[in-house]
Amino acid sequence: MNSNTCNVIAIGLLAAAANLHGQTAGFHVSSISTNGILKVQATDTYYDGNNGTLFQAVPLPPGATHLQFRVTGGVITDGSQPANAL
Amino acid sequence: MAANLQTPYDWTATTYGTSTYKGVFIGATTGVDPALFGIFLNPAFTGKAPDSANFRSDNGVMPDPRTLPSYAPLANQPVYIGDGYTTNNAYVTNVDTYVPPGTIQTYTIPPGATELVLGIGADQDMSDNVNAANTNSAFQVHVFDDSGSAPVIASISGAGTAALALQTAAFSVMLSAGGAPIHYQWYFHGTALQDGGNVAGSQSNTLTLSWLQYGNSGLYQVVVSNEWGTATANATLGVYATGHFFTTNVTVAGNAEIHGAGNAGLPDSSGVEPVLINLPANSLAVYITNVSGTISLNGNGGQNDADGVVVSGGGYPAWSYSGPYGGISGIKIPGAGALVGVYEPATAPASSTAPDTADYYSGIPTNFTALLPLLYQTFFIGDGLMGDGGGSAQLFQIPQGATRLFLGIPDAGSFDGPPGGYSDNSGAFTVTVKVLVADTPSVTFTNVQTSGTNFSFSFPTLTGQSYTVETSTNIGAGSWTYYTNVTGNGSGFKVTLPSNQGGARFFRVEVP
Repeated sequence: MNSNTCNVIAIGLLAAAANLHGQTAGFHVSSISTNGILKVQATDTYYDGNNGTLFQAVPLPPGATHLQFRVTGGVITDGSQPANAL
Repeated sequence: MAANLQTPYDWTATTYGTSTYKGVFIGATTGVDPALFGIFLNPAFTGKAPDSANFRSDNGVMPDPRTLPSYAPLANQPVYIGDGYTTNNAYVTNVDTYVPPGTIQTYTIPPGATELVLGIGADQDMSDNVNAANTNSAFQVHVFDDSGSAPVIASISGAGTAALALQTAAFSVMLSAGGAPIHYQWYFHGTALQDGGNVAGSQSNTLTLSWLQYGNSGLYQVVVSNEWGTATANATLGVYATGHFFTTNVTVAGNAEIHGAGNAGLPDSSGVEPVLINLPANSLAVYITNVSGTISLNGNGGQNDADGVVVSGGGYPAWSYSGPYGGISGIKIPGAGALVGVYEPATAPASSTAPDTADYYSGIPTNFTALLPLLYQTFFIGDGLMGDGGGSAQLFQIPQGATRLFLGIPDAGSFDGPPGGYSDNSGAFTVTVKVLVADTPSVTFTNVQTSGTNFSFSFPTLTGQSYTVETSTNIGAGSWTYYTNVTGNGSGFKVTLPSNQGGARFFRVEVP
């Protein structure tokens, strides 16, 4: 019975970890890339690539209908201070 | 400043691959350089570009994009992402511990979109953007999706298996649905299994049980879980064998020191070596029967039976403990002077690594139906019956690798401490040891024939039994060549090979 109890705790921890950063129930780390993390360099662009480097499109995870993002880090666009994703 | 997002901005007819889309309007508030944007891309899109999304907060059309709890962009329409939360969060470096304020934003994937594109938005001059070689020079975009579902178990292979003792059985669960990560846990009669001994894969989709013992028979359950739900399924395993008994009668003296098992010396020079029984190959389990006699432990005439119970005289303690010695574990038993045993392989115990002491006084009940001790671990035998002097016969399973069984008596000075105190012991137990030995299945070839250009033969199999087919051009050869291997399923196994394999060949089937 001790082992059963441990199993329940483990499931609880899993759920808690999945919501650590506020993503809502039913969302999980995406299989869209390794560990669900995409890196966007300071020169990556989403448009034609004439000014910067065109970001390589990644396949959306099969079956997904919604995405959520948590963006960290920063880029420097004028050689001075890093800026966040906003 | 390269980017200028203070002014509404719109690209027209720019392209991504073969797709065409327009730009995006961004809010005319403050400090929106250099925001993160994305596109849910439909690579097959070739029509008119979707209208630009207008996130401007000063035109009354849309609120500030940084405060939107959710958004449903069109395919191929650039969309503001920012940091993914409804509030502006600080420049973050410790992503593992930082919990952003606000609410994470949800983006609906538009119909037709199959790819995601990200990029730094609304910066007309990327040439001065710095991309230093550290993690802070880029955005790390942690992506979450809702693609998962609760696990659904489609089947368990091996459910209802009947397997031969000493062989291997496996259960494998197959899922028809379930989002990652998925956690598996196998149970046996309600107790969670852990890897070790003859158990492997207890937390995987395939549970493997090797060196099957009768005690492995019973009900197994797998619990499959993920963050969306849990599914369970059951499987049963019956372990069987065709076998025969190897029987021997022995006398175990009252001063037979169990800790001498396999050791070069005895802990107490006044005692004698324990009784050694060499186990035949393919031994499955041991029964101890017809135990009779009593022993005295202190020379005062008191007599104890094989269960350690005082039958005449008195004054013995309620429990006794004989500690570890020479790589053989200690043992704690109710009463004193009980018949005990130790299983060992051919190798002598390592003097520095004795297994844990088994406590049959306050831990393990002595009325067990079956027991599987560890190698080199002293275990309680008593009279081999569930009760004292009566009851059903108890089954002493044989740990994998054991080839020897030692029988003896545990003792210690004052009945508690290092092994010793044998000088005043007398009497003996007479014991019948019955070792259940699995029969090696015989193999008979049937249906030996040629058909067209093929040659074939068959042989019956037993479920769970391993068979190796070998071939040679010389029936007297010392070594044969492996041809194929099969695990029996209770029906015949057919070997077929083309006839153009050269000259005469011989086949044999090896059963381990």
